[in-house]
Amino acid sequence: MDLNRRDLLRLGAAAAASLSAVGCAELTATRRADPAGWAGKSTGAITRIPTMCQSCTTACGVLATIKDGRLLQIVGNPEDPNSRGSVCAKGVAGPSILYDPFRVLYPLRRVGPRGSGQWRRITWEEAYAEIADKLKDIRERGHPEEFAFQQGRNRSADIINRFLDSYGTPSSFNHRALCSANRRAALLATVGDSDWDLGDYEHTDYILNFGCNWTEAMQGHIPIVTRIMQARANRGAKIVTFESRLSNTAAVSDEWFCVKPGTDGLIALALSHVICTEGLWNKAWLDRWSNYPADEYTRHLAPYTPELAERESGVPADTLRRLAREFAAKAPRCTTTSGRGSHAHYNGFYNDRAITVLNALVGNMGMEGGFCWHPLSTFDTKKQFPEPAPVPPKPTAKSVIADAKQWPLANAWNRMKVGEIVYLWIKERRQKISALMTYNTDQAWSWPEMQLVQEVLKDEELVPFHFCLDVMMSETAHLADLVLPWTTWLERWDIDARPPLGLIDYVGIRQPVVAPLGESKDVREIFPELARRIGGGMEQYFPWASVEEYLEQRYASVPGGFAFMRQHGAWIDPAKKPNYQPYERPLDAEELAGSSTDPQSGVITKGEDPKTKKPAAIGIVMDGVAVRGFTTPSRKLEVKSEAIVALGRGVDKVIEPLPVYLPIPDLAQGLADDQLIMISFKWNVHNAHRTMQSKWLMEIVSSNPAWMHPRTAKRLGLSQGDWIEVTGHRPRAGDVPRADGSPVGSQRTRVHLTEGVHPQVLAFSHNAGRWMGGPIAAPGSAADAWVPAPVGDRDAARVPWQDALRVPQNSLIPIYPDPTTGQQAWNDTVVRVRKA
Amino acid sequence: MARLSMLIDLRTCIGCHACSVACKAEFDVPLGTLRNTVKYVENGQAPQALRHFIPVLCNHCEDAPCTRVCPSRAVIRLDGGQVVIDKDRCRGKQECIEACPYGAITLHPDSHKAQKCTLCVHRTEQGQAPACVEACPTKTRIFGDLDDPGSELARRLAATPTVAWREHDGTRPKVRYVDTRGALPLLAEQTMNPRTQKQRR
Ligand code: SF4
Ligand code: SF4
Repeated sequence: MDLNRRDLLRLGAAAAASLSAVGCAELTATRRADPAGWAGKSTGAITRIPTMCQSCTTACGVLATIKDGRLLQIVGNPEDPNSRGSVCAKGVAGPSILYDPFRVLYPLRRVGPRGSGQWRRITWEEAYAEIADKLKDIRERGHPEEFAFQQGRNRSADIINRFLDSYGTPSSFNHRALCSANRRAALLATVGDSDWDLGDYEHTDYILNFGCNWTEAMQGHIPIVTRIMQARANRGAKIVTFESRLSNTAAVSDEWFCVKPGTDGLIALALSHVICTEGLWNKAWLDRWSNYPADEYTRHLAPYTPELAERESGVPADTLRRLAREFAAKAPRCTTTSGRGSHAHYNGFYNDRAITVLNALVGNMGMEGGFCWHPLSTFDTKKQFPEPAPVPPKPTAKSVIADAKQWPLANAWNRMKVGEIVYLWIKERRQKISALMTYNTDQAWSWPEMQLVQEVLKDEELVPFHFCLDVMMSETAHLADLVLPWTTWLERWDIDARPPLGLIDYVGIRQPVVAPLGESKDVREIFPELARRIGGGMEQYFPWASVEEYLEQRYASVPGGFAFMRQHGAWIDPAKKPNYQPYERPLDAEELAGSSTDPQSGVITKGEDPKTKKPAAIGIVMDGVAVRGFTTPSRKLEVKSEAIVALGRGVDKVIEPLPVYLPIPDLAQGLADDQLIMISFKWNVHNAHRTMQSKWLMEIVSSNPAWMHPRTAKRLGLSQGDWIEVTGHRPRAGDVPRADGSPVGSQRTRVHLTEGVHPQVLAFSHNAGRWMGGPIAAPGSAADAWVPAPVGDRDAARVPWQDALRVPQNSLIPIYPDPTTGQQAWNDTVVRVRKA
Repeated sequence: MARLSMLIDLRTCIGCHACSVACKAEFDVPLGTLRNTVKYVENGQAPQALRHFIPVLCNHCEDAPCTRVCPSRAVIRLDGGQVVIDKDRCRGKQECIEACPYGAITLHPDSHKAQKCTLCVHRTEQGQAPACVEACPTKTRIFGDLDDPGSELARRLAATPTVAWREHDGTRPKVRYVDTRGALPLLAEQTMNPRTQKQRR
């Protein structure tokens, strides 16, 4: 029968039609001349323009398919050495972001009270005039620091810093503390060279993942996950994940352990304990490169037994022993990954210190297939692609908020700052703000204690003038005086690159693939214009006639220059080699000329460090050979860091020199029956507020119910889909502002029961809960008066997720900085839950 | 005649939905209808709880019920074995939508004609992979001709045991999966699009 059937199919329509009489025929057809019914969009007279995605901060190289001036499709750019032709859904969704029917496309001025949603369309001329007037006045009064700049994660640091520096304001507030400060600080303290580890995933055999969700989020997302999946397919690499929730990364792992939040560091210490006590370490490597004797570290680890880790984290002691042995057996082709699961905690800095040192124990540091890094977090801004002169000097004015002193590791290496305290400190009038510019972020929705941010933004005394540049009417734009229409990443220019997973730095380009829609503009156009209008010397730092002219200068060292970049999208110097074992590189005669060596430590110094005004270390003599070493004070891998102790002492804080487990004070006190630990997570199809403008991404995830374990639900008398009221609390203990246990806010939502979450945890996604921006981003909301009638997209009128749950989870989360770095402890909120 | 098909290796799928969104972009698939998506299913109990990602699309069945029920004979099979809707002939009667056990066909809300996956025939006949295959970052989806023993698809199929979604239904689905964790049975009677009731005009 089968064969006959297939044969019939091959006979074509005539034979099939003759069978239709018996009711089982199918019709076959050869390809018809008119393909209208079948054709999709990406064939025919198309052009493909290379650019770089910015739906997240990974900045994958992409190709934009253009037909008749319209963007149809985004695919990966195989010439990008980091993403190598791969993209994720957020990149592919480019057209829905560009053609979002609810974009803001014209400058708007508020006409009612702030936050009333009443706007008038104005011209750019009017907007420029008003802003320049205000900023000029502030600057001429001699208080440039009263102009504050709030940015999200952006890829235009060159032009932004040029503008802020030439203006003279140090009040540049960023998001780093809400993001990754702990991990970065842990690396800087331990390894020195870099604030971002890049495991050599493609060549690894074993990955211990501490709460890093690289299948869904994470700086490096697609370049990381494609390499890890390649290692799995080609080398059978094993992946083990510790995470309080079944993330998609946990789901693709060979083993997943559902750990209690905040215990990742203890797990790493227990694994280290097994490795040291069983002698599974690379003793020769440690003897050469650790600044702390291996035996002493073993003694330090004595209390951190697998049994203690089992009690605290829930991972069985025997399993921890097995994992430690497996990990060490694969060395040096083994590595860790860590993310907000490990470091967005009150104890996050120590957690990531312990994880970093775990790698050192098995000697995988900088090895092929091991724990690697690259000194550049972007393209080479110093030698290869320098800033065109004249470059403005750094501001001399001071910002109390940007320099917040009580978190000693926040600004110790890089200026990471403590983002979550900005609005609290403005409210407390610690620093006067006369004008605020919001750029590429939505702090009124995405900051912890967002109610407080809203309250401050609404207050015209605290923030007398606020202008916001964004692609949509964000919750923050809604609280501005002027809203300026920003270009999407598909309409703007950048010179860009990200930490290279291939361990060789490169450079890429972001270029407009279509002309900016409406009257949208980018900072590369806005800032030079404002500088000219503010004057007072600012204008001299923007001498180029166009963005293209500026970029021509910047790409001068690329063979083929700007034109090559526009055609290919990325360039990598073929002469460069992967950054393996940078610490073993011998110093050459030129480097050593004029240097001196400390006879005791072997540290080689030359000249003066401009920051510390002390002799600048350039290497270390090891067994008689001058090598580069680690870029730490000891030029070794710092298991023990005296530097962090000293930084703490400077502000009367005790910072432990060795990796330790610091129990989270509130959790150590135990939880009542109706209390859970709230953790926050991101979905793969979303990034920040921006991705919620995409109809295609929102169609996949638009809702954020509270994930709860069925056992917990039973205890609380809840069933799948039941309504609950969740109340978030400030911590009751610890070195945190306002640690009084008071409630932050309450929300109603439904429970989603799943085995994929820890029984003591309530997990909320960050990717829902907006109330501005139109009915795609904010289900159930009406399009506001500012929105031009949604034309050209019939989907705008049939959004199916109008009933989606939308819980602004940041209304539950307190301002909760790690006492060392100031990193926000996103995953330590104690919530009370009751049936509603 | 070829037997064009797809192999989906669930071992490397990360559930990212690049494939689903690529399909949306390629055909401007209206909100509320899907031609291609990724199902998430969970099973097991902690600490062994699992989540599986299962990309689904029309199976271009070799014994396709949708092709037999259309009063306008608009559901046709192309030379490559792709089952497609002839838009000119379709009069929106929706018999095919009812007939497909996978819920792979939906009514286009603007044209009121049936729409479904074409295996990107407009691309493949120009030597390009289907949009979802091109979009996949982990190369989880392999497109090719089952009858071409030299194709990567055929080689991979020969080397690895594969299964199809609801193979027992007897429609002879052509999309094959490498499913080492036994995920497909968990899709049970789920469909791509919730089964649409006929709304005859
Ligand atoms: S990982 Fe980030 S940069 Fe890369 S394609 Fe996805 S959204 Fe774009
Ligand atoms: S694009 Fe590939 S990895 Fe992503 S969900 Fe689809 S099949 Fe899976």
